[in-house]
Amino acid sequence: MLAEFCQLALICAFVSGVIFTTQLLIQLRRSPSEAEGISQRLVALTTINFTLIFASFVGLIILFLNSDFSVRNVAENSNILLPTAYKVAASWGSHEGSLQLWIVMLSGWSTAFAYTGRALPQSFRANVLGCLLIVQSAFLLYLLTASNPFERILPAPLSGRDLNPLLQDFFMVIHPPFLYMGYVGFAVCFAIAIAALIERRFDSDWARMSRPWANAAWASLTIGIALGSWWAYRELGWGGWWFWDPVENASLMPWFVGTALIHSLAASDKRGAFKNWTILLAILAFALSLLGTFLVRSGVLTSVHAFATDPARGVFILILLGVIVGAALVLYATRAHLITPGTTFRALSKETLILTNNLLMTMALGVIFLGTLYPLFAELVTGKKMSVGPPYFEAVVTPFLLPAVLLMALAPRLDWRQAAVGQVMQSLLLPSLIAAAAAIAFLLMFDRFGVLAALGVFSAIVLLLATVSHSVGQLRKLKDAAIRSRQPESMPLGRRMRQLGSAYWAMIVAHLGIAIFALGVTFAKSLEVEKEVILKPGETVAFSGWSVTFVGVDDRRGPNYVAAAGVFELSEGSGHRIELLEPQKRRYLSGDQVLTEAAVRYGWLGDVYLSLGDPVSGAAGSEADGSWSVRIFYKPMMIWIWIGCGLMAIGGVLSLLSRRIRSRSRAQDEQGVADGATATP
Amino acid sequence: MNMSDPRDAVMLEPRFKNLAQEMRCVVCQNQSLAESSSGLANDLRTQIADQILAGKSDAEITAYMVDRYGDFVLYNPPMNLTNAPLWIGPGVLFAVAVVVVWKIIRKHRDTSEPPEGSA
Repeated sequence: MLAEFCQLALICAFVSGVIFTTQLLIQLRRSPSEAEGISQRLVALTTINFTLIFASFVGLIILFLNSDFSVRNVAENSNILLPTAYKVAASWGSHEGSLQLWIVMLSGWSTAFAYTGRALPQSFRANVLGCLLIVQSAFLLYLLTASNPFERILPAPLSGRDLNPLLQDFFMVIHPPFLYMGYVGFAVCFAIAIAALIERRFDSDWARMSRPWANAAWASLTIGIALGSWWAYRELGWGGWWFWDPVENASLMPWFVGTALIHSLAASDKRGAFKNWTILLAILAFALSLLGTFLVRSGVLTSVHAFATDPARGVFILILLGVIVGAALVLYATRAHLITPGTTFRALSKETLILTNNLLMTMALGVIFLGTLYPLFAELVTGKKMSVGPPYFEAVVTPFLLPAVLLMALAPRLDWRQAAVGQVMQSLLLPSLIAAAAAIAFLLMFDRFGVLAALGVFSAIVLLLATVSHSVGQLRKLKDAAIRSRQPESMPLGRRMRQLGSAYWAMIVAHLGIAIFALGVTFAKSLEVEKEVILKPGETVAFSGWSVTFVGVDDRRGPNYVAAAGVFELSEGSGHRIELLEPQKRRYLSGDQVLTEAAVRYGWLGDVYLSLGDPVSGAAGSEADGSWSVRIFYKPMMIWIWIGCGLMAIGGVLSLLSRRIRSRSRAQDEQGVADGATATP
Repeated sequence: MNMSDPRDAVMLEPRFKNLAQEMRCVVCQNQSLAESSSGLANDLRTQIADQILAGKSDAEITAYMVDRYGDFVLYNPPMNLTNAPLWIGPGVLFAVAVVVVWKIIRKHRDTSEPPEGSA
């Protein structure tokens, strides 16, 4: 019964979404004076739909927890033996479930918007909610007709097929919700942009309103991508963390547009600049989220991460994508000329810097888009399969990302409209000298450290030092000011930090995150040590100042697998034992699938990573002597990649605390007046 | 560790690693020969090692693989007519983007004060 109730809830949400949204939006056109009542009814509708959709999602999780195999989705993606946490995760591990999660996120974001948008003009609020409800209904239609998560099978199988063992990992429990929260969060920015176009309302309020949603979505997406990458690092067992795989690219493309969007929105909000372009970016960000959903779920591209794909159903997503994005672009094309250009600025100003950021981010997106979709296109034309892989992507993306890192060093120092160039350059002199010295030192120390790696280290260190020194400088200025004006109460560090505002710290922290991430990537990539060895029990292998001794292989039993666990003693130098590492080779009982579970010792300076291969028969056909092949990696600075991502996300969250951003469309906002931000022509 | 097989030594060379990383395991979802543990990848790794031992050049080894498996095996798509857009595309995109940005900067040029910068 539960499955039927869940399905009924979805049908109700769909029907009420279609009927009432259409009716209310038509009513809004006919009698704009009733906007307040209409927007209240849309808020109610959004809430009711969220309740229905969320309830059915909870129902789905319960079906998984109860292992109700009469539901096809459960039978195909779960198993009696599956641990409880993974049963929950399995409810979004399938094609159907992941789309339902998508819709849950969408309706959740819509509801959040409905209840935070009270201060907005009523007709605007109604248009945004209407737009979100239409997108929601479109996806509900897709869910109900083409990928129903509650479909029954008769007779019910006795046991389920199981969740793909690769997905049975804690990171996979939390990765999809974050990723989808990011993807779908851009829907709010999209809807706000559409509402602005519909209402021909292009003042800065529109941009200010959009900012928290863009920042929140961006932060979630950052966490989602990082978790996915960390999962790949631990679970795929071949030591990599980013493969330029189509599915990874699908999540990275909206990230780049999102990065451009949050910066462009800042310029539109504060200076009324680039509004035209910002609206296009908002449409693009959601379009790429939809494209990502399509690429991941349709299976048109071969991928290591393609777990729940179905080409036939992909066409439906493609049509949805075409209709939603097409309609938005047509609207944009007919209204964009009404947008007035913003205020003027000099060639050297924050405006130009943000424009350059947008250029570089869009370029990164463009080349990834090209490389990801080109094989599809080429196959259509020539009929032959081809591959575009890491060598291509690294070659074409690096030229855009390296300058982005370097230019970011200017971010806190350039003022709006015009910047004192000499002063800025002077303040960057010392960081540049230190960074250059460090880069040269690394070049000389390690012969594997190439010119590109040196450039990476240089840019990252300039960014790191410039960002830190700017915030230290600001704090010192405040201290001096407090001393001069004899205000000892504004002396404490915490108080001065608060004075600078959370928007400032958001930028500083996020940019530091980028610097640290870039350092991590450069070192991990250029100084990685990899060894593939065959070890007999008792044998020791040394690498990069570490040594690993193979003790032997143990049998382990998990809840739903049996494993051979290699036991290795890890020691630093020739010293004492530091840790036991136990990489496993697991065989899952339900599908006989074999999986490598790497063992990682995380360290501030680098990770030791062991991945168990296969048992090896002794040399020249002699009897097996207990030898196993093992892959050993030393990954310098690897942990800083995750820390960098974490800092970026923290930056995104910090920006949500900003008073300016939270005070929607209030002209009396003191900080806004101080910035002269309402100077819109 | 048993080093009697000369292939093992070859497989530790950076040259071998580069080759294996730039080739796709054609039966896997999306893994390079260096990463994959499939039987085919194993065979092909041995093939590469043998050919290196036989004194073949990287180009010859690559050609051999492309002969058998087509361009699909190459992660770094070769420069030819079919792939031209892939390699020219980024440059064209960049040129267009620079022109657009330049135009935006000009459109918003600050003329209210005497020009001192390069605007």
